[in-house]
Amino acid sequence: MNFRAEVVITPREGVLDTQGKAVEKTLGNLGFKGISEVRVGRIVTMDMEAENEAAARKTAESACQDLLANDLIETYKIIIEA
Amino acid sequence: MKTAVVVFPGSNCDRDVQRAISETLRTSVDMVWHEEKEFPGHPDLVVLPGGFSYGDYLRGGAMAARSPIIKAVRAHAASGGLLLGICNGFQVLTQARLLPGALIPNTSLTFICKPCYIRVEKTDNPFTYGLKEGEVLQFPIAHHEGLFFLPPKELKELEDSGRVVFRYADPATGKAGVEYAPNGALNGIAGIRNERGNILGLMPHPERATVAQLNGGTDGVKFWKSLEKAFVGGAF
Repeated sequence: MNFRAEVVITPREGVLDTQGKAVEKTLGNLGFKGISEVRVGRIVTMDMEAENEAAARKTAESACQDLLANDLIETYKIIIEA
Repeated sequence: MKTAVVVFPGSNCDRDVQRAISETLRTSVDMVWHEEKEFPGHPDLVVLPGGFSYGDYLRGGAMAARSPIIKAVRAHAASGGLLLGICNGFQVLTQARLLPGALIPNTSLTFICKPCYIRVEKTDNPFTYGLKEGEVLQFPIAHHEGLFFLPPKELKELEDSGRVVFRYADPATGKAGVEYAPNGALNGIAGIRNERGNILGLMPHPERATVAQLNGGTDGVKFWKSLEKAFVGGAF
């Protein structure tokens, strides 16, 4: 089966995210109220062939561990779509 | 001292390192393409140079840390060989988990390229053996992601075990710390070593401080000579 995996990678809590802080400040300058904890990360999408959704998720998980994310400074979330 | 410099696609300080070492230590330096699976002969020192390996895609050093040559780099270090990572090379060492921590974007969010000062914190390793503890050196920095980061517990372990080798400092007073770090590095950390002492990573560029006519000064010569002294003297 064909799946599309979307991996959302964001800086881990406690890790200084200067980009997030700069964006948050600018949003404040624009008049946005009540916005806090802005984090800037990245999204990686991958098309993959796998037996089922669980297998696709497992592959995406391994890709995150091996390359896509650095778990010392980042957290990630995997979304699988058929 | 037989030396090999690894060249990744996007490395741009490889020739500087080659020139700095070959001229200050009068030795030949092998350039090794990252797709090689082993080093020619058995180098005593392997250098991962600065630059923008793989265009800094994903995270600085992330892809280079998975290059074919890295297996040979690990084997070299595991057998006690000297391994030095400068700037992007330091990022590669952390991404390969050969050194702890991560280098994240500077607090200024800008690329900083200027001379900076670092204090020698430890001389108990082959890289700084010939330097003096507390000595302040001028090496240039040129990076966007140079803020050394470790979570509090691991940072304390690193400090307590005396593995911080260089710290950004004020040349006038010799004081060092985060307030002197142009990039916001935690505790002002500019360079660290592994437990065994044969792997060193640092953000500033000693190879860019070896020619008097250029702006970087010549403190880099002291660094390379220090390395040679430890090696030739068989101190480690």
